[in-house]
Amino acid sequence: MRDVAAIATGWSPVARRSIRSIAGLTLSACEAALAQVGLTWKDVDGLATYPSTAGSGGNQPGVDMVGVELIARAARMQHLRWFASLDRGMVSGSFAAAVNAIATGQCDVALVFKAMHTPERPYGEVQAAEPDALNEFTLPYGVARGSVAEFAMPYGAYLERYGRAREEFAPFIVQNRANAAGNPRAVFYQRPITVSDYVDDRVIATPLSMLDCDMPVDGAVAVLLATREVAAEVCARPAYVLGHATMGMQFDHAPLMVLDDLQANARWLTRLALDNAKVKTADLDRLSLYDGYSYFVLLWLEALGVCGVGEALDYLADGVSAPGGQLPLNTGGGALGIGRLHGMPQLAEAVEHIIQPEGVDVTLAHAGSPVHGGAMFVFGSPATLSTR
Amino acid sequence: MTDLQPPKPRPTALTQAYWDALDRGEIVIQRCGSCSRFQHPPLPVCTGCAGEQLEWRPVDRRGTILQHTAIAEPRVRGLAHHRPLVCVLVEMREQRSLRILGNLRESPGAIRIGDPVRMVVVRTGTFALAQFELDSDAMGVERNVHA
Repeated sequence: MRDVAAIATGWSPVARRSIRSIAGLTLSACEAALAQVGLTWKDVDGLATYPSTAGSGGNQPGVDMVGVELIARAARMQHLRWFASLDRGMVSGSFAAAVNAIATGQCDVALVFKAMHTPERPYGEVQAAEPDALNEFTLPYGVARGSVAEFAMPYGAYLERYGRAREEFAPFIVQNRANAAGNPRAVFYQRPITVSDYVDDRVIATPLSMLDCDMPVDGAVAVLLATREVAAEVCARPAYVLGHATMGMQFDHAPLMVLDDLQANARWLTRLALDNAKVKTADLDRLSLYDGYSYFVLLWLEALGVCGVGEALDYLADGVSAPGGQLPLNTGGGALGIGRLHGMPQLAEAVEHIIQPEGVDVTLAHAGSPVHGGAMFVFGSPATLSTR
Repeated sequence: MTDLQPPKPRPTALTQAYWDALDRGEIVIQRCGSCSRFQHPPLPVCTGCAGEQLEWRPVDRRGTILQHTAIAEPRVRGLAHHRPLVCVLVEMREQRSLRILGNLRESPGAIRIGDPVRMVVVRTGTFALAQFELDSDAMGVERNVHA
């Protein structure tokens, strides 16, 4: 198996609504990643994405979603040797597929991208008069699969089980928005919030409020992956993929997801990823944990064992996860602060922490829900790789 | 919560018997003919033993709240005026892994995990739906907090 490295990231402008199409934004993000290491489209022979739309909208290519076909055509990639378009596990599933494709020699340089478009209609709105089969036993009760209400229930159970209150999340939510406020790529750049903004926030489905949900945006992000040979030529500090695991699956059959399953699967996925990468939690220098809903961060921290089960709110209140702290977390503001980009804020950030000149050695990115195809990646600096 | 106008299910061959039973005022849940395990929503195979002989059986109708939420502004057609819409995922008495979603019919004060509830059949215009109400007889007796 060949070593695989992430060698560049590229971002389009991220905004609530853009006057440009997300097709254009995606091409910009991909070209930004290529320019960072002096490569061109001709050097790219692999392409992967998570083609899902943001929901509540259409599925017009380039407008509501961007698939590999559109990019391959627009960038005239007749030389393409491999692609993946996986609609499970957020972008992490396609990212894992691209890593494996390079490792097994199917391609040498792969662009993994994800574009998102803010739908015109309100998020979560369901106009269907009849539920589809997947929603037959939930929609008559007002709960669409994957809607805020479904995700709210396990979080309510978490708070009730461990005797916590949603207000206790304020230190993290506020710190996270401070991180985003300092990140020019974030939709909430220069827009910090206060504790009372969070405490008094509008609740959507108890206990989740607006500020617990990532912000829908128009935007695109790309990560460029390559073989060790290509990486050594064009990148001073490639971020090698030390290991990864894709194992976010709900095993128990139920109409909606349940806290016990979320916790069990978060633990299982985390163990697999760390074992595959041959690292321990104590080896990690930075964490980039998926926060499409804020409380996933709690589950990942507890699964990683940085604190006990039910203790993540205390852990976060201590400031160890702030930039400059002992184990910085989502330093760019995560999906809550950067925007709803389906795992890309975490993947790109974990790569950037290593490839920058003063980069760290070992980072971890997680993307996706613990029961919806979530995946975890461990990246390491060249020094880390050489000691293995 | 008496004037719910929820989206009407479109039963499939797999689920028709469930909705037909509700129409008669009965609540039946899919059960495996081989290992006697209940499962919901219905599937063509048993998730306990992979058996394919599945049958419909009445349930005791009693259970406890496993998870709950109150949706401030429902965005599902026909339910938008129910503010808040209280949803409960209930663990049925028959079996810990038998979980059924419904709305709480009355709007009580604070509800808690482990609160006992009872399943009832509610007519909503053109079809019947299984819903839950707090089982006040059992309150305090069988509050069963999962820790």
